[in-house]
Amino acid sequence: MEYLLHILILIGIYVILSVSINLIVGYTGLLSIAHAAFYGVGAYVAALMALSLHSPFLVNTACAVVLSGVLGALVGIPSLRIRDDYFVIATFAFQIITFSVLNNWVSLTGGPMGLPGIPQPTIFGLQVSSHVGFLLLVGVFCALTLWVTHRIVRSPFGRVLKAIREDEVFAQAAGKNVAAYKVLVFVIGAGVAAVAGVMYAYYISFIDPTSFTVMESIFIISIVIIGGAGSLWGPVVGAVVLVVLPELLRFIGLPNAVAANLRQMIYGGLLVAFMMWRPRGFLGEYAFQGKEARG
Amino acid sequence: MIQQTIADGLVSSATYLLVALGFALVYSTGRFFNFAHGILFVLAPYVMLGILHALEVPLCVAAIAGIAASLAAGCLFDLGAYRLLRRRGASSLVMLLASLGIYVLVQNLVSMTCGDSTKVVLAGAADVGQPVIGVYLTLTRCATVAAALISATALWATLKWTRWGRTFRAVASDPELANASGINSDKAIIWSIAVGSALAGSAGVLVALDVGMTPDMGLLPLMMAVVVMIVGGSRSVLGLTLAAIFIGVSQHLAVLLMPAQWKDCIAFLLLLFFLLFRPQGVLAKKTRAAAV
Repeated sequence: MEYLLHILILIGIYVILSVSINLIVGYTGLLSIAHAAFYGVGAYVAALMALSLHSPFLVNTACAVVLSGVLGALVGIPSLRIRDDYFVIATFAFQIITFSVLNNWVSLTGGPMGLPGIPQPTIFGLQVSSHVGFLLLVGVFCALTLWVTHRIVRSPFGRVLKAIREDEVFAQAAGKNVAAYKVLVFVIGAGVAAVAGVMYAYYISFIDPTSFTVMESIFIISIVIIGGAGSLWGPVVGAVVLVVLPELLRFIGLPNAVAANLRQMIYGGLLVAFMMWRPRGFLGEYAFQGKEARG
Repeated sequence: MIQQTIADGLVSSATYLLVALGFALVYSTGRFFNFAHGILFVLAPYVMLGILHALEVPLCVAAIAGIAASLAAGCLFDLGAYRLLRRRGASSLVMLLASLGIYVLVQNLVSMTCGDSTKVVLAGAADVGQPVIGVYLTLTRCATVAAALISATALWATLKWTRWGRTFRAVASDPELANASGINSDKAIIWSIAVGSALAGSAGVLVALDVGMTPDMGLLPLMMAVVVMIVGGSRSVLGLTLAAIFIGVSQHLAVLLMPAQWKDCIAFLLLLFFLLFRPQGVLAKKTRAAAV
């Protein structure tokens, strides 16, 4: 039973991550491989505050969201000058720099040793300690993320994002401040990713940099691509498929080390297969045409 | 001390250059960031090690077999995936994501079959080499620098003077026009991938002989190759060479000023700077990316 709850909590965390990156990648058409960086920053900010300041859960979450949002703006700004694959490289560089800081700034982050002993969160006097409690907490944030995303993509703001994805010059010509929209969507996406990081830190109660690597970023982007970029439920489907599929391997009785490799091989292979035969994923409406292909 | 630092920097530069030459060649003919290039760097030394363990052959035969395996794998990626994607008119983003998937797939295949621990080719005491004017040189490290210089010169001469080179340059500047004038661009692309894969494979073999191998050792040289290509420009062998030397040496010199673990961080900050302010590289005039 606990195992089942654990899987559901993981799915919840990845739903938050993939729905938030979908705003950037799927709706606005800015392919970014830096989401694990925001996820990590969220986790580290919350963990450090909880460990050294003993501040309450909601305050930590707010701080994590704000700091990660600021970093999001920093990553979003290059998208004003460079595009498509060059922008992917810039986000890649940001991801590697962030990992390097988490891994090497030992006096602050504990380096490769990580941060152990993150206390259980207390919300309005209630301590969340059981799996059920965490599942409720993650579920609430998941629902909130989906609701906010739903509202965003249905709003005029969301329509401008899609316009930027389809034809940036047109959006500009229609009088939209494309630069502001791009930076803002990065701030929102990064902020929401930080929430997932906070959940992860409190739930596992130990974090180290290996949870926030380039590979994790590629995993998150695979969820969106396989589920379908630019649709609300696509990333949810992707998260369920990509989290559950490797777990099934355990039931065949594969040793853990092999299962970890197989998990990555599955999403690597799925990424290639979907790019070749179904670039818009299960439910998506954006197939990574890029800006130049549309002339 | 300073000579040793510069020499170490030059050896890194040589590795980056070997990877970057192939990466840039594939980028200019195929027009996409081929992340799978990084795994060819890993594949060659592992195949070499496997052959050394299985058969009684001299090291150089095993090394050549490893490089050939990289070359074959690179061509296989093109035939199996990239060519099909090109036929469908896939964007460079789709190609990039597909190659990223291939990278993840093959890296985990290697790590599943060979394990994650560091493997060395030649067991026994590490060879520190002979001091020459205050610099410790080993055979492997000299070979790395020599291989990089020879490859760069050969590639430069080929691109400039031979019929092959003209074909590459034609496909790089306009694939449709090249096709219209009777050049098979698919053929040019697979040749560039073959050459690039062999170069990446040989870099991997040399690094493995020097410091050993792990399945995830491909990502860093790949990213450094990207940095070198962005700084040097994808169409200029001279630009790539200068960029590789600049990055390798300055990384090692920076270690004199700050803790060594930050040296990769510096390279990526440099990358961001160049992407933002000079995406066409130091020598080139303009690229597709610079034009909105």
